[in-house]
Amino acid sequence: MKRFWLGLAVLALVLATIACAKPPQGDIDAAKAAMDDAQPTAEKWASTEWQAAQSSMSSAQAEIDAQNQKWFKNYDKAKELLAQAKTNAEAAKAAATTNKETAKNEATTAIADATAAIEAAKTALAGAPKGKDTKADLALFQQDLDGLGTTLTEAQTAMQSEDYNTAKDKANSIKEKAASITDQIAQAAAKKAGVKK
Amino acid sequence: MLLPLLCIALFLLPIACQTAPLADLARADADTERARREGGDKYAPEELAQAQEALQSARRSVTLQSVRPEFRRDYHEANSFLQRARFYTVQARRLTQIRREAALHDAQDEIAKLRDSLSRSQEIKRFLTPRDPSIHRLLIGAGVDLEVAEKKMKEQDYPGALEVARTGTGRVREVEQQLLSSMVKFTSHPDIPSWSQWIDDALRQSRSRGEVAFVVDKLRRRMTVYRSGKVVKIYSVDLGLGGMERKMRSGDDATPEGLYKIQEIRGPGQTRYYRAFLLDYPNAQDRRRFEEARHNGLIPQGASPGSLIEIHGEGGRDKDWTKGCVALTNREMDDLAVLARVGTPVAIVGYNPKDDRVPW
Repeated sequence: MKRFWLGLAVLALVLATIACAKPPQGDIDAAKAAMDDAQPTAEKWASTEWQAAQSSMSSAQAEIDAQNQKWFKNYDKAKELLAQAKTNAEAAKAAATTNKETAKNEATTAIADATAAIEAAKTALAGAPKGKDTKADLALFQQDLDGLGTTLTEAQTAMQSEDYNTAKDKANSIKEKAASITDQIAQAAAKKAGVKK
Repeated sequence: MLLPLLCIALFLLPIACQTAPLADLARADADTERARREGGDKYAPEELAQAQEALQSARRSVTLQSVRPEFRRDYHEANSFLQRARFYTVQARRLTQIRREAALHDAQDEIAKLRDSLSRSQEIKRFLTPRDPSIHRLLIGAGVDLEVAEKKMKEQDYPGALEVARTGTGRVREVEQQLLSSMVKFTSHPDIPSWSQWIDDALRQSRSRGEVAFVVDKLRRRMTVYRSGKVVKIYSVDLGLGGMERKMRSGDDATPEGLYKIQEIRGPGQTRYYRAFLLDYPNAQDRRRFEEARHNGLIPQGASPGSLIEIHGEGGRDKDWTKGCVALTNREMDDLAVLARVGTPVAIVGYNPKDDRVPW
C-alpha cells in the first residue's frame, strides 16, 4: 500500500512537471535576436535565405502556440525549430554579408574597367590622325568621353550609397560605350592609313 | 444527487471551452508570408506592416489565453486580430498586384519615351557642335540611363527602372529645352533685317536674270535653291565646326554670313571635295566688320579674315565638320553644278525669318 502511494506521488510530480512546462523563453529570445540581427542586410542581399529563416521562425512560433494550448506541454520540438530558425537567421546574415561583398567587388571591378576603357579611348583619341575631315569627329569623341567621365562619377556616387547594382550597370554601359569609341577611332585611323597608300 | 450534476458539468465543460485558433493563426502567418514574397514589402509596405502587427497581437492574445484555465479561455480578441490580419493581408496582396502592374506599365512607358526621345535626339544632334559640351554630356548620360533601366526591367525591378528612365528622359528634355531656347534667340536676332535684305537681294538678282540663287539658312542647316524667285529645291547642309557662330577670322571654323557670289566653279579633280563653288568671301562688308573687330580688340592683331569659303561636296554627314564651308553630298553637287554659274548669288544667313518650318 505504501509503495502504491509513493508511485502515485511520483506520477503526480511528473505530470505536474510536464503540465507546468514553460515556453522556452531563452530560445525564443535567442532566435528573435538572431532574426533582428540578420534582417537589415539579409532582406536585401540574401532574400532566399531570409525567407527560409522567416519560415522556420513561423513554424517554431506555430509549435509554441500549439503547445501553449495543451494540458501536457512539451516544447522539445519548439526548441528544435527555434534552434533551426536561429541557425537559418545566422546563415542568412552570413549569406547577405558574402553577397553584398560580392556585389561590391563586382561594382568596383566594373568601375575600374570603365575607367580603364575611358583612358584607353582617350589614348586612342590623342594618337588619332587629325585633319579637316576628322577634326569634327575627334571633337565629338572628346565630348562623348567627357560625358562618359561625368556618368562614371554618377556610378561612383551610387557605389558610395551602396547601390552596387546600379553602379555596376552604369559602369558596364560606360565601358561598352568607351570601347565603341576606341573602335571607331581605330577604324577611322585605318581608313585614313588606307587612303594614304 | 451529486453524480448527475457532475455529469452535466462534464458535458458542458467542452462546450464552454473555446478552441484556440491555431490553424487560423498558421494560415494567417502563411498568407502574410506569401504577401511578402509576392513583393508586399516593396509595393504595399504599410498594409503588410498592419497585417503583421495584427498577427502579432493575435498571437499574443492566444498566448495570454493559454495560461488561463481552459473553461475561462476567450479567443474573441485573438479572432478579431486574425480577422484584421486577414483583411490587411488581402489588401496588401491586392495592392501589390495593382501597384506592380502599374509600376511595370509606368516603367515600360517611361523606357519607351526615353528610347523615342533618344532616337529623336539623333536629329537634335545634327544641330549640335563640339562646342556644346553640356548638351553632349546630357545625351551620353541619357544613353547610359536607357541601358541601366532596361537591365532593371529584366531583373523585374520596375520602380528602379522607372526612376532611372525618368532621369534619362529628364536629361533629353533638358537638351531639347537648351537647344530650343538657343534657337528662339535667333527669332529676335539684331541681324534679322540684314539677313532679310540679303535674301531679298539674292532673289531679286535671281528674278532679273532668270537664273538661280542659293539661300543657306544656318539655323536650319538648309540650303534653298530659287529660280526666278521661286523655290526649286531644298537641301540639308553641313556647316563649319563653329555651327551657328559667325565667322570673324581665319581659323575659327565658322561659316560666314553675307551676300556672296560664286567666283569660281571647280569640277572633279580640281578640288578635294568632289566639286566646289568658291565664294567671294571676304566681301567688302566682311572686311569692314573684321577691321572693326580687330580695332576693338575682339580678335588678335595678326589675324586675317580668312578665305576659300566654298559650297562643296563630301557632305551629307549630318554634322558640322567643315572649316567654314557649306557641304552637300556629291550627288547633290552634281545637281547644283548644272544650275550654278559664276556670279550666282549666294545668301548665307543665320536664320531665314520667312521660313516658318521647325528645324526638327
